[in-house]
Amino acid sequence: MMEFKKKVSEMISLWIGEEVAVEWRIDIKGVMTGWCRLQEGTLILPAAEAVACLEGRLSMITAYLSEQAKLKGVREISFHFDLNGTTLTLSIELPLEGARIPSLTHIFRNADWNEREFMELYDIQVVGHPDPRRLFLDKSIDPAAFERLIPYSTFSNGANSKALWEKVMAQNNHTGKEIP
Amino acid sequence: MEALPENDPIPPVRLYRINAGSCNGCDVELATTASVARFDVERWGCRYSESPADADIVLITGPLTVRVRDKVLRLYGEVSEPKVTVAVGVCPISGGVFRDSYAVVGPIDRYLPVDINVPGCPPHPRALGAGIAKAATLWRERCGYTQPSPELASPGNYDGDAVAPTGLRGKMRFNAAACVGCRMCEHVCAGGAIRFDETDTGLHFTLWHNSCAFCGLCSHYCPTKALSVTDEWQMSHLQEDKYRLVEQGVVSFVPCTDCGSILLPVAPELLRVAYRETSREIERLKTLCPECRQKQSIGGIRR
Repeated sequence: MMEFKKKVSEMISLWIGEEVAVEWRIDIKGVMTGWCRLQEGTLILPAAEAVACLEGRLSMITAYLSEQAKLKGVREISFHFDLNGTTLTLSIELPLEGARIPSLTHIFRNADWNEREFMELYDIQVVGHPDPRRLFLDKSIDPAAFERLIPYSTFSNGANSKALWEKVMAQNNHTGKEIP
Repeated sequence: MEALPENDPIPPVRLYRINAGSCNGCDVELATTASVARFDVERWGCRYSESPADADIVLITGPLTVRVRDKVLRLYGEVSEPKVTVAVGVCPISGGVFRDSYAVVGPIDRYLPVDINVPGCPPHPRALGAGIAKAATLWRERCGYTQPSPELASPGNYDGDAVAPTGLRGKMRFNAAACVGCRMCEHVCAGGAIRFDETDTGLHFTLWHNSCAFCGLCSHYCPTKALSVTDEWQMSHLQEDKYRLVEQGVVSFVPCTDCGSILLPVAPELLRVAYRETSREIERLKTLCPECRQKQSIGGIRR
């Protein structure tokens, strides 16, 4: 196990060009996970190359905007990799405005949809994405949807339900059986 | 799968399927109508077409999302007239559980004329078969075929046998006599299919089957089981009946036997849940309004 941990740290350090410390945790069930925060957002590209060299795969990418990070003036993205059954999470910090990050799609094909998703939910530009179209949201909807407060009454005012129920009630004027 | 007789003068009716943003639940059920012998649409003289230009009947699944609206309308426009349109599942009919979402622009009849609705979430393959058979009959009428297709001559053919499969979640049924008016069903209803209206005479319950997802949550949470899931699957209907497909009931108010103010009657099912057995005193108290009950409970004769 020590050898595995050492190999991961060395490979990432080699690709990044500086010493990287991965924190390894083991939970009560004996599951080991690795955690590492990279100094710069752009370092995710060589780090991903390192994971690919270790024959790891990308599980998913999570972009998030926590209150704690916002106080520090940053946003975060966590990249969750799988190394033969062990999860390695590499996190990066990006500025709140004008965040840019290199695409990993050419290394891990499944980064494609993850990157397209967080591009439409957050104000993050992915540089070098082969197909940066909207994934889920329609073009008519303003980007960075998760960065705006959208009152529930704005995106769902119930007008459709109201109109349909008016038609239902107009054609069924309480004709149910009355209980004696 | 039964082949059409060689001398059948009526050509097969061609079906074209459009997914208008469906979760694919209805599409999976539709797949059975092309791959499982006892549900096969060929039994009703129909077959699936790969091109809208060759189709006679359009089957639409999904709530019609913003993303696919234009594509759906373009494909629909490519189907030549006369055509018959079938809304498959509650989503295209009413929006179902997706109604009022910013990403949904349906129901589809806002954009194109619908002829037949097959509610369900998803509808059982038999219900799909019945809806498709009705659509085929309608299409043949529109085309001027006076002689009915032999497959469709008897409605019993496509209504299927009377026995529903075990565990089938069908139409919901309401028993007003057991309702206590807690409105929990309205609260938990995934599709917004239930509403209560209070009038001077009582509490009016309405369940619109065209928005019901058959999830059974209303029945699960109903403390007195005034709502129950039946195995009735045959719900396909003409568009003109869309808003009439309801389950209704009225819980009439009764006067308090002491002061005369109105109250909802206490259902025997509620007493069974609360006390298991009732006594003469409980029977007497249940006819009183809360205020009189309180007065009598506190200030009444002590035993």
